[in-house]
Amino acid sequence: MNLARAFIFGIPLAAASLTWWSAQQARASRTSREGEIVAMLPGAPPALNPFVPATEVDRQIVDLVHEPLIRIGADGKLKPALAERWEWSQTITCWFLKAEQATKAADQLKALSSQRWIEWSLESATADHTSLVMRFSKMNGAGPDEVVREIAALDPLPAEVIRIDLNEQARPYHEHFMANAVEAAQMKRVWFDGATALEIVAAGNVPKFLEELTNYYNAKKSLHPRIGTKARITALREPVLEIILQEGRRWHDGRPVTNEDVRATHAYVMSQPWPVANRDALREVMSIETVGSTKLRVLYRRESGAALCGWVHFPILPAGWLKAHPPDAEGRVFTERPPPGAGLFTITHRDLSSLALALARTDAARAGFHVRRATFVSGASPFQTKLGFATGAADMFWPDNHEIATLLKGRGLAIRGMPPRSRLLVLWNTRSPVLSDVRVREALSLATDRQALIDELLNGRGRIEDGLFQPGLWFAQTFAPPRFDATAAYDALTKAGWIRDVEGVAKRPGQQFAFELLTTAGNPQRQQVAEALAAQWRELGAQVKVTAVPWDDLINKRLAGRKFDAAILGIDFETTWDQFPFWHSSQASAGGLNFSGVADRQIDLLLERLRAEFDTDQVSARAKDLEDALLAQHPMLPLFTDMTQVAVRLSALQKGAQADDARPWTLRDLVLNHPDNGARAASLLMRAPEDSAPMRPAGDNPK
Amino acid sequence: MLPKPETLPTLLPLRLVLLGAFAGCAALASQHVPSAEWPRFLAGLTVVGADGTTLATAMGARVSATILLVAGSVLLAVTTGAAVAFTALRVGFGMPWLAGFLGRLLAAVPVIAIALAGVGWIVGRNGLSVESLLPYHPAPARDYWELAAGRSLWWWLVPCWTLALPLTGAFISSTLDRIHSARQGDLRVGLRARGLQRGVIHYRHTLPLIWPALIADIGHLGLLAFGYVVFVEEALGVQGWGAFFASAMKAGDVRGIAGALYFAGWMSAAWCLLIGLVRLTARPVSGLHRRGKASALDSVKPLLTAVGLGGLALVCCAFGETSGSTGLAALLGRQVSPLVHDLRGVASACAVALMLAGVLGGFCAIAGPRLPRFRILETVSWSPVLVWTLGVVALLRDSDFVWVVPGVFIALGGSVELGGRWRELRSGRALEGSRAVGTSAPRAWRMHVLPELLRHMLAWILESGATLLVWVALIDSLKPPGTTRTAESLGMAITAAKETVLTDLPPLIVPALVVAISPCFSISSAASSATARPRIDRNGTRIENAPAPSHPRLVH
Repeated sequence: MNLARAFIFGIPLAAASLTWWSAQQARASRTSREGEIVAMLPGAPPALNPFVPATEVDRQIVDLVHEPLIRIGADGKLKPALAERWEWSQTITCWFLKAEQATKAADQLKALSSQRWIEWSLESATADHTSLVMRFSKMNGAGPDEVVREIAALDPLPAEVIRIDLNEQARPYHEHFMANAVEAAQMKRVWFDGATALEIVAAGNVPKFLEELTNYYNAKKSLHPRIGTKARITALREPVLEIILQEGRRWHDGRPVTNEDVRATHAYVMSQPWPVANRDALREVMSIETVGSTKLRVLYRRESGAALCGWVHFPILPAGWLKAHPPDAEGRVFTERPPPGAGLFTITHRDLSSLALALARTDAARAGFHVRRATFVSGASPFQTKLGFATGAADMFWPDNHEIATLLKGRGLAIRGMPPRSRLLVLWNTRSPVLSDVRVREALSLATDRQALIDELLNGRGRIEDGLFQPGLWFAQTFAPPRFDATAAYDALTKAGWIRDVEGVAKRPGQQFAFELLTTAGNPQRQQVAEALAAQWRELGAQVKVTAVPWDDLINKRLAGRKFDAAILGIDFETTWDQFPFWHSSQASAGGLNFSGVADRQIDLLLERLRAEFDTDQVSARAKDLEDALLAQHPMLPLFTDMTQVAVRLSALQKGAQADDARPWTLRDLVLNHPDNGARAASLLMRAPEDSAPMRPAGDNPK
Repeated sequence: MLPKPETLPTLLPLRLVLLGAFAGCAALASQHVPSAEWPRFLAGLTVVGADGTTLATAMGARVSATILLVAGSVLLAVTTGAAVAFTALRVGFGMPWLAGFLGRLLAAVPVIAIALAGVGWIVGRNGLSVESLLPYHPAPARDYWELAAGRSLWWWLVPCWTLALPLTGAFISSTLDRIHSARQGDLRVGLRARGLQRGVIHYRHTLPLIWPALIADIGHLGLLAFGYVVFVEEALGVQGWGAFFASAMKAGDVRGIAGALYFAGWMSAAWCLLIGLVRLTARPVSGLHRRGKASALDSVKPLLTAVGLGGLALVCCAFGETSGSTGLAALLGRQVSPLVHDLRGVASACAVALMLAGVLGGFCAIAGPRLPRFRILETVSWSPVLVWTLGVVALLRDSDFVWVVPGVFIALGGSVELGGRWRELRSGRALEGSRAVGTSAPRAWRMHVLPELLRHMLAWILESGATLLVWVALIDSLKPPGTTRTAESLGMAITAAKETVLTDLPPLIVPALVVAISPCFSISSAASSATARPRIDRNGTRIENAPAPSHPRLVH
């Protein structure tokens, strides 16, 4: 009897006592949260794919955990991260029939006076079997041409660049060919352009090599090989990016960061079809040589200063982890087994609903951090968020569109906007009969009230950025807010010969001002934008037909075939100054990305010059020249950029933080200490304040 | 707790697994998923997550969490319920009746409202956190084992208590009824005459006597808890099977719903296996597995009947703009329209249930003995019926006939109940006696079977109506909020009140208490069945061995 009674009364009493005690312990756990923030994420838990972050929040968390070689600082300039410094140089390689000729050429150069070497920026000339490799410290100047002229008398062998396109994976066939080819020695370089194409540099008996190559691939009909010679050259010019890693940087597991990690990360990413930012720049890498444990020499296939941007915000992972965790197309490996990073924060806890980050052990004792621990609760409903704020348990959340207006009225809350990652624009077809006149495009631009679009369709969550480049970068110009001027628009249209009739439709002899605006089917927001634009332009006198087209058809049929007048496109910003593919006249024909058909010789020259610019200090001026010339042509109408807004408890921000700060804001701005005046400008280098390398003053960036 | 057949089908765990598998495959088939996919689905290899997560992976940890939660809650509910019931009996003076009534009332409050009110009380009033909603992981340097253990316990205990509360209510009334029926025999009088104390009688004699029946009730509670846990996990952010099921239902994800139904079969099988083990500890007591004939409610029959009739009046008001509606409006304000909406739905579902149960029950009674007995209906009624109902409702959410679904599922269990009763009455001594003295078959049937059967049907439909009102509120609480400012149903009103629960509890509590009107039905059912039970012979003597109702008179 006593046992039954004890069981019946004991369990509820014990449970009640434990409930009371555990409630007190839970309360005590939260009593002091100084240096800690709790953020409520609305959607799924962060996937933490460092290379393809799913959301802006994901990207920012990755940025806290993983470290790239180079990052963009708060002032928009390049800043060293894992790399201590970097430097461009170039190598010129000539091939000779015999090794003696190469040695003789090297000796001939070495016999020249040191003054000439300095003039040419020549650093070394080394014979390597039948090749002569010359290193130049500068990317520009006449040095390489002079040197090649100097050794021309020794009859360097001409080389050819051969391109092979296949229907299957190219690498196994190439390796098989090289293992069995009689003329294999003629091949000097190989570069794989994606999985199914390769380019070979061959020197020596090239016709025989080409014949053997052609015979080999033509024997495999199923591959449908397309083989062709791209260029004939005397010497191979290869830009080299030399990167020196910081000494003493370590992964969160304590192992040192080495140049092998960089090489392994590059190979890992390029083996997958992930849409990594600046993938084209990474694809241009011919090879990565490691020297010692902290020095890298990255050889590029093409001369492009913007190739440096491939390493900007490109997270580096440990080679050991990469080897142990083969990649998968969806990047699930990063979620299931997160790799150790080298960033400011390390992952200390992760489950279905929460992710906790803490300041990396090596940094924990150092000052300079406003936040030392961050917890992200995912899948948080609005109710949970409200709960978190009510109890003081949450400091940050990502509100819905309709909540912003209410929240702005709330006390103790600051709304911050994260940096833009993409933008919506209208791309004009400059070869369209109606839109070919630049004055017409200007008129349409003036007649577009973009702020109204942002207010009505995005609840104010968007920014207007008129430039070509990602806003905030050191070479991106800041434009004055665009004006909406219906009168000026009408004047411009009238000057172009379009007069409105009594019904308000603009006409000119035999022609109505009518065109088609393409948008993406299945995207209601873009459909709304298109309808709103059509309504605004109708006021000007334009008859706009909005057509929704599936994405694949839009790109592959309508834009690629240049069968459009205007199209609404969403474009992700990339950290690069290379605009060649989008606006150069050579890309205006079918197959190129210059869909708008801009063909202007001056713009072409500016694009070429900007692409070939290796001096980051000179990029701003060149980018400005291009931007001024190109935007005057009105090839596109930038509408607005995205803006992810985050609500932060004011008390979680640093002292002096204002509730209404419109500047782009990141999690780094939250975790790092700022000067008391709240400035986040050039004086703050976006590195851990404790990094041992000396800080460089603003403007004195390594190239 | 819905009426259940008192005999268990053989191999019940296996039957439940097969039932879950059937439900999952049926859900897939309803959305034209090819049958070639079914083996993969049954092996748990179907992809249910956007990131390629398979069903088995997604359910691994979730099912364990849910089973632990259900087991813990039922343990709390049973011990707390028993403690309250025995204490009330010890005190006497009407306390058993009061405790029984409050138990029924508590059991009729939608569990989602209890969960939200709990959050409002814990967070809004006491400034404490709910760990499952807002997990917190302090820096290791600042975390001690007491804090970690405390947080971990708090994480589990809040959902456990929340789920345990309605189950406790149900168990209190159930236990009181069982004890009351056990005390009616001569045993108690004899024991009291021997001078034994009440405590000794309760714990040493009554409890072992009713223990087998209580085990059956515990089994019922567990199956009910699998339905309730969906709402508790959803409201409290527990990442278990229920939260998965709720999110699949909200998103209309057929594979997720099918997967949840399939695993509900496994979980209920595990539960029945556990209860089977517990049953091994009980000595079979002849005749006491049944609920007693009369109950503590007998003394207040007139009052209860009046309350029940009040409930019926509410149903009547639901079908027109009568003066009754106006009076209700004054009484309940904004809740009238949702209440009327829910009562209409419940009345319609009851009508469907009654019709279907009558037809199926009649078929079982008449043709059943001649057919092979697979005991499919018994298996369904011994399964988590609320879970199947939720699944089907989620699959038919765009249909105009979705209100039929709860009625159909209730009818499946009811048909067993009614069919059994029908057979029992047909072979009863009264009918045999009547036929022996030469009464014609129709007359004997009309005199001795029909009145009893009708009363039994009335009791059953009132009991089912009580359950349906709670179920409808629960089902509606998972619906997305409507475009209008006023809630369309009580369930939606409860969900809408979530927004203000931290500062203002009445908008949550009022619709929840309005739903708790269902005890009126339930009590009416008790009253009507109690009215049916005492039988008087021709000499005016009470027949003590009159057929007893076979259903447990609990709220759901």
